[in-house]
Amino acid sequence: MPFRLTGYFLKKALEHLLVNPFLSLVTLSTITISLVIFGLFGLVYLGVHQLLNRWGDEFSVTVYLQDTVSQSDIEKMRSELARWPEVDGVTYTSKAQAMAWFRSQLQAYAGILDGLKENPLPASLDLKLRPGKAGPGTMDQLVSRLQQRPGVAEVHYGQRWLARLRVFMEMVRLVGMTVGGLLLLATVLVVSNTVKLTFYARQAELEIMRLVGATDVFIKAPFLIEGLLHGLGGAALAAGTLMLLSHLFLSRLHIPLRLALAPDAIVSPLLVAAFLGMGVLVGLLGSVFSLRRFLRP
Amino acid sequence: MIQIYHVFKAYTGDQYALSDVTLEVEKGDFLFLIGPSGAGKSTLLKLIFCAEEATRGQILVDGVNLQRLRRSRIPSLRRKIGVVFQDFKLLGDRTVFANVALALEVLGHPRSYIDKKVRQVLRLVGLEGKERHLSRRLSGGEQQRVAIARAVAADPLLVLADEPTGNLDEEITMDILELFREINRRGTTVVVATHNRDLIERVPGAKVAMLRQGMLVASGARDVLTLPLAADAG
Repeated sequence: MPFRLTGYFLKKALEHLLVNPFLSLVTLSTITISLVIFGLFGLVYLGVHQLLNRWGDEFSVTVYLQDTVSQSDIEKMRSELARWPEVDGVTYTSKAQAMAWFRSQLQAYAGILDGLKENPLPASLDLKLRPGKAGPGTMDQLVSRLQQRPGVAEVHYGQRWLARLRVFMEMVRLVGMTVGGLLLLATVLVVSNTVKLTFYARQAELEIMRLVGATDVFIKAPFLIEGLLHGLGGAALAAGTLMLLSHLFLSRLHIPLRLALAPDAIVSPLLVAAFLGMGVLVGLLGSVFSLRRFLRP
Repeated sequence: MIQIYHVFKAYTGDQYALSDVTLEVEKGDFLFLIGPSGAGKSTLLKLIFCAEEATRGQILVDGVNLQRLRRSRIPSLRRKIGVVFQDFKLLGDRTVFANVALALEVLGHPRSYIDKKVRQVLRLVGLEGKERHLSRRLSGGEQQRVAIARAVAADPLLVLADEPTGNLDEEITMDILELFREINRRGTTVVVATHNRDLIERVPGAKVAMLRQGMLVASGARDVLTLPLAADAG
């Protein structure tokens, strides 16, 4: 397409937007609001995902050992576990060390432990995991492998907490996809309606254009660009709003949580580009729907 | 330029707007298509510029068989044809210049060419100096001149005019007719559909085709006018 035609189509599309500025504004606002809601779900999802990854890295898994396990077996197990690819380091806590720690925690009430005939606390191995190896899937596998080992009494890690977070994340994903999908569909229909109204407003001009030999492409292009501009404008406004909202929200969080959320990784240029792309797609789809229905010969 | 062979057109069922019309228009002809209202004049013009499709028969325009013409090729045919209507079909909220320029913009011409060409055709139709006027502010005669300028801006081979003077008074009608003669003298084939037989007298050398109730009852040089006029009324 020659450059001057692109310029001509763009000029026509801008004229279309000004045919009914109020309607254009309403369309732009609708796209913005829909995309902001969709984006909020996305950001919450990404944030929780990020937290799971980051905090997961810091999890240590505690393997409690049966009292019957000999010191040499413990040493063997310790050095073997230290070789596992997902394990960064293994610390051994003997029964005596566990009791000493417990005693120190009880402080003034430590005396209540004096009546114990034997130390009930088990020896344990604390596994520090390598970064990135504490994802939901790998954690489950690791724990089940540990539980199957002889001499292991119990394996502890932040299971419940992780499971809840995962359920929450899944919920956000499902609700986000459903609500977001419906909102995007509604947005496509709004754009389609706006383009349709522009089409009605310019029907006389289109009739004359056909009469003097305008091709279908020539007639349709400004309408497609009109939808595209609506989508792009709405997406840009929505991206700006989301960046502002996430900044305001994050600035109120405690620093460790803020760092764990890694806002730069969430509102990344790639995500903004994807968002703009979604806006363009929504706009174009809206135009295409309307053109298919209303520009038939 | 135009060959029409046994053309029928029915809009609904067996009610024919045109019945077995056969007609030939040669390059450079000035043809009056006459007949009373409802005779099928507008329908015939619509078939020629592909606004309607013939129910039966063949129409060739500049060697192109319209019955075989793909929809996507219609724009290229229309670029060879300028059309003028009784109601002008102008964009009232646009300037005279913009109305005429539209015909060249859709062809993708550069701005400099469009500027030059629009001024040239506006000079031809006597509307120099009115480029910036809104078309709805012009008189009926001037609006029809703008419509004619738009029709000839792209140098078509053929100009079709459907009752172009229907809304104009006698004096202006003659001016408009003179304009069509000028366009014809420059080599463009002109077909004017009208119910006003007086126009025929004003164009020496014009050919006439007479339609009545969808049928071609006479065609040829002006001598067809010997047919009883009263039969055309109503």
